[in-house]
Amino acid sequence: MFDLKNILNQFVNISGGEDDDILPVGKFGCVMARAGVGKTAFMVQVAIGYLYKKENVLHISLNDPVDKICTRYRESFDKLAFSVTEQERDDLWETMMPRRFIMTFNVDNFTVPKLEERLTDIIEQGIFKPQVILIDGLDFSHDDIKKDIDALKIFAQKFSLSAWFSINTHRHENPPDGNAGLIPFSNVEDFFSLAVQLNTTQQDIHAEVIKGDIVNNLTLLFDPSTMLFKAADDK
Amino acid sequence: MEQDIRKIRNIGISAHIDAGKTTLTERILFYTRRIHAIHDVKGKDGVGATMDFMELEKERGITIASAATYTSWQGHEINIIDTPGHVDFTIEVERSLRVLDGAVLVLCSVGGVQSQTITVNQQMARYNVPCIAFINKCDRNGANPFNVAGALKEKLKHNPVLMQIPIGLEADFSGVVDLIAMKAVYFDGENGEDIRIEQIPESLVKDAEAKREEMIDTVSMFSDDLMEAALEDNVTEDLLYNSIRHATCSRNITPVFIGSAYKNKGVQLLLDGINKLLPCPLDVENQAIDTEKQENMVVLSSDPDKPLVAFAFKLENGPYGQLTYVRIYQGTVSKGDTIVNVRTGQKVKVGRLVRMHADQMEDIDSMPSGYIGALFGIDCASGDTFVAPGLSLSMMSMYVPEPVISLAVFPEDNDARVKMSKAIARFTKEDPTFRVLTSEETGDTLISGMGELHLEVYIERMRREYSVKLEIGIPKVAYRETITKQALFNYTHKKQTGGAGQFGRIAGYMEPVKGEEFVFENKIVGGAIPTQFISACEKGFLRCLKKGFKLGYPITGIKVLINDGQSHAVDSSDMAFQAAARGAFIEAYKKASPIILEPIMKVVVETPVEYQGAVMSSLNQRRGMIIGTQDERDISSIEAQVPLSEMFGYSTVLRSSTQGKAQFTMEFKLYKKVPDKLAEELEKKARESEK
Repeated sequence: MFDLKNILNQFVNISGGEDDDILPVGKFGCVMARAGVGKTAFMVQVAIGYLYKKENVLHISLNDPVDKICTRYRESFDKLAFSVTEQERDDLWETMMPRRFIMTFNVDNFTVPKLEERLTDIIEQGIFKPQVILIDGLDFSHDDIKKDIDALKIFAQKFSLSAWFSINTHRHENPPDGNAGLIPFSNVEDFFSLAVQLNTTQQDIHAEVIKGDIVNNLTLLFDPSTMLFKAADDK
Repeated sequence: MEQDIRKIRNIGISAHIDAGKTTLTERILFYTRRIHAIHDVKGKDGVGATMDFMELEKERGITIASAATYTSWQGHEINIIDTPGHVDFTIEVERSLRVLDGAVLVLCSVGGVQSQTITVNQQMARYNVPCIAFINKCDRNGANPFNVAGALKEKLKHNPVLMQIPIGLEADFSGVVDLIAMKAVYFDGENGEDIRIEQIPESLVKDAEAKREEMIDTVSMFSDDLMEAALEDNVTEDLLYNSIRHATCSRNITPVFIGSAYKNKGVQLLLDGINKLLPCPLDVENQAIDTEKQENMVVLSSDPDKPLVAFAFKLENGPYGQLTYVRIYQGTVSKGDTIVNVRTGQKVKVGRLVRMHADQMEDIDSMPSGYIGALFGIDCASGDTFVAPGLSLSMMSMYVPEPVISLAVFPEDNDARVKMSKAIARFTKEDPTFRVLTSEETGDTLISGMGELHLEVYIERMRREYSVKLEIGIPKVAYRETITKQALFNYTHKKQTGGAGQFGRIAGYMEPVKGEEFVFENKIVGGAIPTQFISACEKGFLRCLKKGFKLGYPITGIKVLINDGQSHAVDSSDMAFQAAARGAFIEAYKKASPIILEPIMKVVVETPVEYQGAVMSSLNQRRGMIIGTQDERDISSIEAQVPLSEMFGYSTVLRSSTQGKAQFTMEFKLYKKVPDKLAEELEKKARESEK
């Protein structure tokens, strides 16, 4: 068993050390997995790591409604913070919540200009200024994805943001180089500084860093029963 | 009165504000020939919808009190409760769902799943009420029933099954394709009363076949017979209806009907759906508590010949006395019967028995199990259970939320005071969320409720129905006090000033506790405080909760543990230990860092996207924390948590900043610590009012 601080430090590692950002401004990271493996759970926990580091997180979902995302955050946080008292947990939660902002769009309704318009609005009015954005559910298989990611790069630079994406993957049916290349990540690989792939084994889900040189020695497992990270020695 | 219980449907109609519940009910009453002309909500004829019979409802175009009515369709008796959509009247929705066997969830084909839809959906889940959905307003610009069915799945976790697809949409909406009969259905005549059945238009055949297949696939997951028949390509209409009905009653699926009540389209098919798919009272298991057998749960039987069990779910005071709406769960109630109110033990004689049709009534001689009707002239409170003499069964109590807002009312003269007392006595009996108390300091009458609109409506009713001339004060928020750390107490109450003395010592500690008002724990060993005085100690502590020692607000979230004390053989008494408990409480409370809590509301604003910025800014200015925004085409839904004290008059601000195009709902979410600066202001105000 590990305590709240330990577990949150795991995410701090994922999201860069206390003082060191793994994704500097304008850089992109992604988590990849097949449907249902736990990309959203991963994203939520990474976000909790940022919130714990007192960074403002804008969570954009193209799948789930606001209520459902709120519930995911609260459930993940409560499970992660099980070892502290209820009062401490609530107090920490209260300090983290004003740092989170959720936006949801219909997949068909989502465009980069629209996001830019919304974000400009909330920043200009002093309502919220994110440091990290998480975009969950963007369709990476559509034809214009490179154009969209490119636009998001400019957008991230403009607003001084780093960004995490979830990517729904499937294997090449006939990989050209004989290796099991990942579709659609292979099409957009150049845009990302860091890529984590979730692989299922019989008991666990491994979070494997397949691009990026900072967290090579990071061993993270994902418990499929709770969809929470656990330390490698916490069997 | 027909007695076939399988042909009874007790249904509610629930939805978000303005989704068209009352308009739909109006059409149902018209097609079932309970009324002979259609009057619309805020209609040009000025008559108003039949179910909105209170003057105020007609004026504001909203449904305030639920009105019960019954009607019949194709040999089935349908009891309908029209329920208010505004969240301030949520107790009305809770009450109606408590007694219903099924519900129609009305959704707007443009707005889709809206904030109040989520609330009523949760209420339906709480009472396990199966439902069918009606996607209304398919004639409106931007109508998309398929999106709305998708939202039912995504947002409400229903398993929607389309029973129909539209023929045209928006201005071209002309009818529906019935996916069971595989026919096109059109609604002709001035009021859509003439149903014309045709072949499915060529352009829709493929879509209809695909959607029917989807329907069979989904439903066959819950019916082996249907799956078998589907594999053998032998699906009959009866089998399909039976399978859908079973899956609906077990809440595994939600059949979806579409139409436009205002344009008189699709309502008759919805009525068929109510008959064919929603449960009859026999299909629902109802339980009661046996008050004489350790509150064991007892399953009630729908047999009309068994001893009576009935539940009073709504009271109304009319010109002829109190009208008590009851649902009969077991047995039969007849004119002249003697029945017992389980709560008071009082025997009452049933004088007049009626069935309600909005504000009109029809006398009946008896009412068997499964029916909803009303008793005349019986004195009781909402939520009481009536049984046949000899039974000790009580229906479970309903969930009643605590009021969050209060305001002082000042009658102009003595005549007004008398009238106001009468009005308040009636309203508090009818509505458990409407409370009244007298301020100990000022003697003012304070009324409390679930929101500004809730109280406004009662004030208007006092003025109109009871001609009360009154002034109202500024709304007051229901602040609370609590403690934030543990504190010890060791207090001796000692009084010896002639006559019998008073002595009691109590020691222990108090600490904050989550999710409970008050917890008392006795850890006294060795009789340091004799057992007979322990309850006096608890009573003494409990009394302290009514008025906090910081600013005088009620105290919540506190645990008191006593572990030592002392008594005197002669001078100790209940009164002495109650006084000692008070002294101990005050001693520890000051050390336990008390804070002020304020009610925080979940506010959801639905606005055209162009006003999103203005709305967010308005919430931000009110100390609101924006949780998130949800974009659905041109409409944005903004969810925030805002202190109630900042929400007074918000409707006016919202109207002016969005040209009246946005609407909001608000419901109590949680109590949170008041910011220090505001706490100081409250303290200052409290000090000033003491002077």
